[in-house]
Amino acid sequence: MRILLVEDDKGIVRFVRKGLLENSFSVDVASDGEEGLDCALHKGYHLIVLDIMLPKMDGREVLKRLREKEIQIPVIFLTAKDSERDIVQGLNLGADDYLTKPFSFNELLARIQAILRRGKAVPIPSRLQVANLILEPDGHRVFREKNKIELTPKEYALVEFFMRHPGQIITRTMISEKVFDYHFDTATNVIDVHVSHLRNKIDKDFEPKLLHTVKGVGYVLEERG
Amino acid sequence: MSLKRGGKFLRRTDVKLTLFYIFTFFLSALMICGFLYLRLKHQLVKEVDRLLLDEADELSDVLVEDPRGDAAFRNFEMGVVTRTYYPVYFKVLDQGGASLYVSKGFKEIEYAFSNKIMANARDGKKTMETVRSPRRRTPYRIINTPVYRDGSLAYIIQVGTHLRFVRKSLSHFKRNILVAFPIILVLGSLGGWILARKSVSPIGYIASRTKTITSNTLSERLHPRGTGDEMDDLIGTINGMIARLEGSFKRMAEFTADASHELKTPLCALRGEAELLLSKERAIGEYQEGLAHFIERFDHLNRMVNDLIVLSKSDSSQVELNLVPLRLDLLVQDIANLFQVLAEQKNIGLNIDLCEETTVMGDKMRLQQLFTNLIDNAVKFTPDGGSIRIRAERDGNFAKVEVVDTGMGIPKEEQENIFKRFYRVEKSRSKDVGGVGLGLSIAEWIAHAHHGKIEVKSQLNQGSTFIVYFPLQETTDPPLPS
Repeated sequence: MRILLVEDDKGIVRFVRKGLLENSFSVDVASDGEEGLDCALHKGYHLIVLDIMLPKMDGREVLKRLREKEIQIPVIFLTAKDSERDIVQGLNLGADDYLTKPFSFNELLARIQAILRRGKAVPIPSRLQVANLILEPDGHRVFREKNKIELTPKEYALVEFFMRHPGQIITRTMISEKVFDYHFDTATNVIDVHVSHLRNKIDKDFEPKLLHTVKGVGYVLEERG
Repeated sequence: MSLKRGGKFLRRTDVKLTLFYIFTFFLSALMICGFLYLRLKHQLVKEVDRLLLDEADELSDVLVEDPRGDAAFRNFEMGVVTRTYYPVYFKVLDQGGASLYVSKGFKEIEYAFSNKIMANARDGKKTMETVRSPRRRTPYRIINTPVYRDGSLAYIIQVGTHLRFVRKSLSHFKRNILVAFPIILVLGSLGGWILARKSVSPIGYIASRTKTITSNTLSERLHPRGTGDEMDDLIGTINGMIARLEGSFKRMAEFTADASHELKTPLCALRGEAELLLSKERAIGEYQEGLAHFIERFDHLNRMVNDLIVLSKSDSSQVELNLVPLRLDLLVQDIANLFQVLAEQKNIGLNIDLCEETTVMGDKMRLQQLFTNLIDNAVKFTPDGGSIRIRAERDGNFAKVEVVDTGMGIPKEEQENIFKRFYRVEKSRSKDVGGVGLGLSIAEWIAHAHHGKIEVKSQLNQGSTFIVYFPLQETTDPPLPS
C-alpha cells in the first residue's frame, strides 16, 4: 500500500512516516502543496494524508484540483484549526476523513485502515461473526456460544461497530464520534466504562477473549491465537 | 505652513466659541444701540411737538378772541420768536389757504402749503412734519392745526421751530456710542475668550492626562474638579473606563498566571517521569506503562489547551458556531444516557424527567460540551448513593434545562465565582476529582454564545441546581434529528 504524506512540519513527518513504515506501508513525503499535487497526479497512491496549512499551495486547493481532475484517491486531511467550518469545507471538497492536530498516530492509522478496507466491505451481511461471537443485525440479537446476550442499545451499537471492523484498532474518539454521535473530547472515562460493560457481557464468562485493550489508544475485537 | 497653522488655530474649540461669541455680542450690541438711538430721537421730537402744540393752542385762542387783530398776533409773536431755545415761528391761513399773518422767521423755513395739509384740516386732523430747507442745514418741525368756527373750518395755524438742539443731542449720543462700542466689544470678546478657555481647558487636561496612562499605569485616575458639571461627568466616565480596563487587565494577568501554572505542573511531572524512566534500564513492561501514562497526561494537557484556546478565542469573538435547529431535549437525553454508566459506578441515580419537546438553534458540539460539563460536574460532586435529576422543558420563549444534584453544594459566597476561569470551590477538595476549573467558564460562554444564560442555585450540603436557558426556535419544519 502506497501512501502520500503532504506535510511541511518535520516533527509530524518523522513520526507519521516511521509509524506507517512500521505498519508495512510505503510512504512518500511532499513538503509543500505544489509538490504534493505533482506527486498525487503522477504517481499512483492508495491514500493521501494532506495537511491544510501548506507552503506554496493550500491543502484545500490541492484537494480541489485533484477532485477536478476526477482523481478519487481517498484523502485524509489534517487541520490545526479546530474549527467546524474548516472541517465541513474539507469534507465538502471531497475529503474522506479528517483529523485535528495534535492527533495520535494510532488514530491516524485506524482511520487509514478503515478507509482502505471500506472498498472491500461486504454489503450488509445478514450475520456478523468473530470466533463464536455472532451478531444478527436484523433482530438486533447477539449470541456467544449460542447463548443470547441481553445488551442495552448503547452496548449493542458498540458491539456492532466492533464487529463491522474486526481486527482493527478502534480508538476512543472513533467510538465517541461514530457510535455515540458525540463530538466532544471529554476528560471522563465514559467510553472505557461503556466498553468495560460490554466486555463483562460478551467476554467475561466466555473463551476465547475477544475484546482487547490497546494501551493508550483504544480497543480491538479479534481472536488472538 | 502658516496657513496650516492658521487652519488648526481656527479649528480649536475655544477659538470657535470665542468667534461665535464675539459675533453674537457685536450683533446684539449693534441692535441695542440702534434701538436706543431711535427711541431717544422719538422722545426728543415728541417733547418739541408738545411745545408746539401748546403754542398752537394758545394761538388758536388768540384767533378765536380776535379774528382780525393783527395787533394780537404781533403781541403773541413778540412773546415766542425771541425765545432762546425754541423760538416759535408761525403763520395763519384762512380756510382757503390764503395767508393772513406770517411771523418773523417763518419765511426762512420755506415751508410749502400742500393739499395733504388741507385735506387733513378739513377732516379736523393736525399735520406734523419735519422739513429741511434746501439752503439751511437745520431741520424744522412744523405742526398744522385747523381752527373751526361754528362747525366749519375757519383758519389753519402753522407753528414751527428748529430742531437744532435735538440734532445736537443725537449727535452727542452717536459720538458716545462710537467711543463706547469698541470698548464694550473688546471687553465682551475678552470675556468670551476667558469663558471659552475656562470651559475648554478641562478637555486639554483630560487629553494630556489620558495620554500618559498606559497598561502599566492603569491604577492612575483623572482628578475631577468637584464642580459637578459635564466635564466632571466626562472625567467620571473616563475613570470608569480605565477602571474596567484595569479590571480586565488584572483578570488577564491572573488568567495567564493560572494558565501557565496549570500547564507547567503536568509538563514538569511528564519530564520528571521520563527522566526517571531513562535513569536506568527497565523491563519492557515498565516502559510500556510509562509511555501509556504519558499519553494520558498528554490528553489531559491537550484538553486544557483546547479549553484555553476556546476561551481566549471567545474573548475576541472568534469562535464560529455552527448553528442548526436541533432538538435540545433529545440532545440532553443522549448525553445523560451516555453518562448514566458513570453515575452507576458511584451508585448515583441519574434520572431524566419527562422532557418537553424543545427546538433551539444550536451548535451540536458545543451544546454537548456544555451539558457534558454540567452532568460530569454533578456526577463528580455528588457522593455515592446520591441522585441527579435532569429535566428539559419550555419556559416562556425559552428552552430550560435543569441539572439538579444532591451533592455537596456551593457556599453562597462562592456562587458568583464558580464561572470564573480556573476557579475551584475549595481548591483542595475538587483537585482530586480532576479538572482545572475551566468547565463552567466554557459552559457559561457557550450559553451566552447561544443568546442564552446559565444560573446556579445551591445550598451547602443539600445540592446544586444548574439551569440553562436558550431561546426557543419556533419552526414548522421538522428539526434535524439530534
